[in-house]
Amino acid sequence: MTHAIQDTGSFRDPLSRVFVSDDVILRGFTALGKADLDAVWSKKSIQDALESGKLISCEMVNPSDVGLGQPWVAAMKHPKIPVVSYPYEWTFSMLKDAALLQLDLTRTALADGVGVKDATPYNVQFIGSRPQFIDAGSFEVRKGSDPWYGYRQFCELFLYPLMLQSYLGVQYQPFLRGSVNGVSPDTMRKLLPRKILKPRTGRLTHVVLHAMAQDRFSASKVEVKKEAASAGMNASVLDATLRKLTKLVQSLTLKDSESTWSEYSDRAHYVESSLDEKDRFVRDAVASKQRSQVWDIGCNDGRFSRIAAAHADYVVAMDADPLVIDRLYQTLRNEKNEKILPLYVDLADTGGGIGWRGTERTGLFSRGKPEVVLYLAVIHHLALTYNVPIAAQLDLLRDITPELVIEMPHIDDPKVKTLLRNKREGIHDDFNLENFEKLLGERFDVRTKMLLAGGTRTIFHVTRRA
Amino acid sequence: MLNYLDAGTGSMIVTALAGGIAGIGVAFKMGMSRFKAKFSSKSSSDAVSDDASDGDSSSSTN
Repeated sequence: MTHAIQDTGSFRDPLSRVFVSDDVILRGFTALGKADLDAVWSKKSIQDALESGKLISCEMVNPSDVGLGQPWVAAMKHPKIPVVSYPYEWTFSMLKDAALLQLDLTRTALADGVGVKDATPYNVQFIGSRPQFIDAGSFEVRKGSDPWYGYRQFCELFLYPLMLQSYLGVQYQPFLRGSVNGVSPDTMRKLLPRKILKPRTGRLTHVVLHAMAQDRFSASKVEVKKEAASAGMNASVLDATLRKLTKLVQSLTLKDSESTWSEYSDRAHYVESSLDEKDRFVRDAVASKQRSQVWDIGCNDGRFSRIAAAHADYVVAMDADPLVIDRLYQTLRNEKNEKILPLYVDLADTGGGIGWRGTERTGLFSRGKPEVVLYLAVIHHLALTYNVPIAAQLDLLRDITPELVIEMPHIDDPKVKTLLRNKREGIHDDFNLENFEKLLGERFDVRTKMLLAGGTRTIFHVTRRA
Repeated sequence: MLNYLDAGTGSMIVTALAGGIAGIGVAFKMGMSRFKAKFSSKSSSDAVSDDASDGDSSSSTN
């Protein structure tokens, strides 16, 4: 095993820490953490979660055997998540499923005398389309009158983002990328107006009263735990809260049904034979050997991700349209697909790391290592809509992948004409096949290329120049 | 042992309240004890100012 280093995102709970190496994930526990672990680990709720896969697989190991010294007195080994993703790269349905998993585990544990310390989507990861709880350090002994400490965090990072999307049709992702702590009750109260004729379920309690209570009692010196005990807090009260919250989250739905690309799977602008050709070209490029990881940038309905998945261990399907990704996620989830991870990624604005020192949640490109990237029908959107030069796009691709399948539309392509119709004449004169091939050749060696039926697009299979 | 997260003063009352009938009594008692505590701390110390809303030490967003 290679030397494990502490994960930059693992520091908030002092009782356990995550360490990462090339091939394994380790979690160390302090003496206090071990006391919790010893008390709760054999409980039925934990064992059931492990067996069902809701909780990541945990193998107990001796800390010294895996290179962990003081203060780590207990340790466990986890399998590596193929590609770590964050809630601002998920879509509404993904965040909703993660929220329901969090509530389910918290409620089941509660009935078993086990407390779940926190409630953050950063404790959930997707294996393809399957959400899995990854923080085995979240469980602790629970006393009968203990409150649910994760409630506010649940609101800030799960409930409010879902409400924003469901009630207002506002994308939640920029809010979560903007703050690693999510949306505060006070901010949410200002964002979500009252609707008299059709009241928004959960607004009064979880938003308005929550914000008011935060404001009113913020300077209180009363110790929450003692106060909860003397007021008669108990598991049945919290169970009722968790049950109602589950119902509320289940009732939240994605209202938008159409977006720019959500009807793209019709692909009306493609000659059908060119799609077949593209299928074959992509298959031939990817299938020469088994691939560890393929990224499909601009995946849309996942047609080419699926072709790649037949020859790869794992595929990350990315698109800049959250509605398209949501639809793909639901399809993959219904198939129980664990090989294709759908992610909402706008390549023009992927963002860097966020949180403490900008490394608590790292940037996208440090979380995966594609062996092949599919870059189909993307380059003209970035070049002509966002003015990202062809050379800059090819530089990025050269940096992240040794092998690339890329589609270049010609200047007479109908889509290119549409994108250029409102642009000043002459400013995109460098967007042409000749210039593209020159820039491509400076960075990659061309293996094969093909003119697609219709005659306005060329597809290339290239490998990075040594 | 206290949790590593600050539960958020006020949030705990709402946790109980959100439980509906089961939690209203608990929420009320928690609210009252906080109200009393705030009242008593105000009357016992001039150092505690009125601008409680500025002092949300538990707020996690900034």
